[in-house]
Amino acid sequence: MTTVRILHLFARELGINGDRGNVLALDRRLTWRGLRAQVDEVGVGDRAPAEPHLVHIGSGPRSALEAVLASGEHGSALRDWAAAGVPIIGVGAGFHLLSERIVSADGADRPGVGVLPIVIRDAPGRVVGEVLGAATPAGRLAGFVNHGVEVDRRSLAPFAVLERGRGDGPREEEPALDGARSGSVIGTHLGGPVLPMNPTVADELLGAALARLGAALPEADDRTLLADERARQARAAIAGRLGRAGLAV
Amino acid sequence: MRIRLAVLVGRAVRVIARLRGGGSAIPGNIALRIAPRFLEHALGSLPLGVVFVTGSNGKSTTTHMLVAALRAHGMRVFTNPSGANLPQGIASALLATVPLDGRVRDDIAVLEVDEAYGVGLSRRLTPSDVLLLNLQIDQLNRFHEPDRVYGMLATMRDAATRRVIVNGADPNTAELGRGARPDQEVVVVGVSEAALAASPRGVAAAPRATAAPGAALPAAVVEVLSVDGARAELAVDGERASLALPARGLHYAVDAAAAIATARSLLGDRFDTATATGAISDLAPVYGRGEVIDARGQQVELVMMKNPPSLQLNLDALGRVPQRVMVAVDEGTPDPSWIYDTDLSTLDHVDVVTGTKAWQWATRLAYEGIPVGAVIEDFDEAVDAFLALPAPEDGPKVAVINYELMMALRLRMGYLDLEGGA
Repeated sequence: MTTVRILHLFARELGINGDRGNVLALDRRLTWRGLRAQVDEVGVGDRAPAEPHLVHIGSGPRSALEAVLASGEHGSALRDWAAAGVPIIGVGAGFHLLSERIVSADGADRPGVGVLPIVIRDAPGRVVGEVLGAATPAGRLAGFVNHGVEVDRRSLAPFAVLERGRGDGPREEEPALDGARSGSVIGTHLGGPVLPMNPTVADELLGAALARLGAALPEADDRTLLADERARQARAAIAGRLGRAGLAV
Repeated sequence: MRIRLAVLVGRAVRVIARLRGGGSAIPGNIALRIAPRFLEHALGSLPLGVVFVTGSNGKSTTTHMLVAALRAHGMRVFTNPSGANLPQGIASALLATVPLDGRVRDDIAVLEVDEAYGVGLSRRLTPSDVLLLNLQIDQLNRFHEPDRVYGMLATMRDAATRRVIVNGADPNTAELGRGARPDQEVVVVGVSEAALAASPRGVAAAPRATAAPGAALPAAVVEVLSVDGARAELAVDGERASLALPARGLHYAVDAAAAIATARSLLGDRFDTATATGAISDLAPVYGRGEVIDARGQQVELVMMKNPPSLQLNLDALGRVPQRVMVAVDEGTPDPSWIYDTDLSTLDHVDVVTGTKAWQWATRLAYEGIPVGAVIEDFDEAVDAFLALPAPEDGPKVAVINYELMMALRLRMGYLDLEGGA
């Protein structure tokens, strides 16, 4: 039976807002379908793990991100894995970690891990609230964002085009955008947490991980369908609160 | 003159608000509009000054304990009722007892203060002593990052004219203690290695990168040695003392230790350990967040969902797998993502999930494999359905509920005094 090894990187240092839920969703969506999941938590001071099949990095305060970056640990491994096509998702500070540079409000300019060729800059204001994605063939993304940065995406595609709510680009950006994508790497500010709230993204990551193992994601079972229907209702509730009641999500 | 008017009008509004079942902050708000310096005037010249109690969790409990310990020593203490920790809440509390001249006659004020509003309050009231309990993950939609709350706590620390009392077991408050000014006395509360190791949840400090220890923290004057159920063993100045806690959990033992350490500092030679531990032991036990309400003749135990450490504490404090459970959360909790960090092993099912965030909770429960009876988004309908369920045999029905829906529930069940007992 296929075992998918999920690496929850910096789980202790970065995991402030239910980020464990992303890993739980990945784990359950494998085991419910009869596959095996192995979750490893690795942080500062731990030995570098063998190449995982999927990587998750959660959110946290700036002080924790700076401490992780200052440790210099697991950065080169992340670059290698990204280059090899390992699916990676970073949320909030975990997204910032993947960037090329992080420029603080006080002018300090620190290198990120450099997996995504983007720049993160502290913004004067904070963006806090629910967001709703634009329609896509896979439905609409939704979540809660809470950050104080502006992302210079350079030429990278965003993770989400937003129909409602504030994005993480320049204020005047139209439409508002969130996060970034490059190859198998996703960075986002969406909370909810993002994967239980948006199971298509979870399945995309799992599908990519399985493809590299020469396997495919089996059909959803009843438990997966139940969780997905509730997540759909949760997204619909957000759409309703953002003045888009009744939209297909 | 303005003060007199503020007291008179505030009192009148208070009477009306209580009759109508309105929010208890309104009278204080009005008094502050009439006399913006009402708080400074009322509390500015107390013989023993003003003590602030702040931190992410345990403010109300600790304030309660500290007030009990001081009163047991014969002190006259002004305090604010639990949760009324914003300026308007404190003003409302003043209106209940203050004479017409607006000056409090007590020896000392012990105030529970909100972390954010405490910054402004510390400028207005210049506390002599500031007790910093902990820095845990709390309301990120409001506070954004623990780093920001750290700054607020540091500002309050700096405002203390005499003394800073810190929980040395939380690395964040320990760092605040190390950063105190040389002219401030730093009093430390500690937790023994054994007590920490025996607690499954530890002290739940917010994950911040704390500065490398520079100046050493003074040795703890009160240390939690062990917690056994709802009893704690402390070392007070090196002498063992035992006391009853309001409920099970290390958290309450730390609150008690902090209250005792603060009382000891404030009372000096007059402090008597047995008097303090006795007063704290005599406080009423708390269930969940301290409340069982009467709902159409049924008992409903409220498990408050405020922030991750307090929800966990309140769930753990249930001490049973409840037979009848409702989960109710609305926009008062704008981003409930953190429920994925909560250990829900005390729930084997949920009968009704309600509130605008119902589907987010239901998704969480699906991933935990916890069966859900029904999701009923409309709160009133859900409450009716929940109360219609057969009575449990294990005690009251249980509502896991956020503050806003707790208030809505109380109003619906005919409670006029919305804030509950002080």
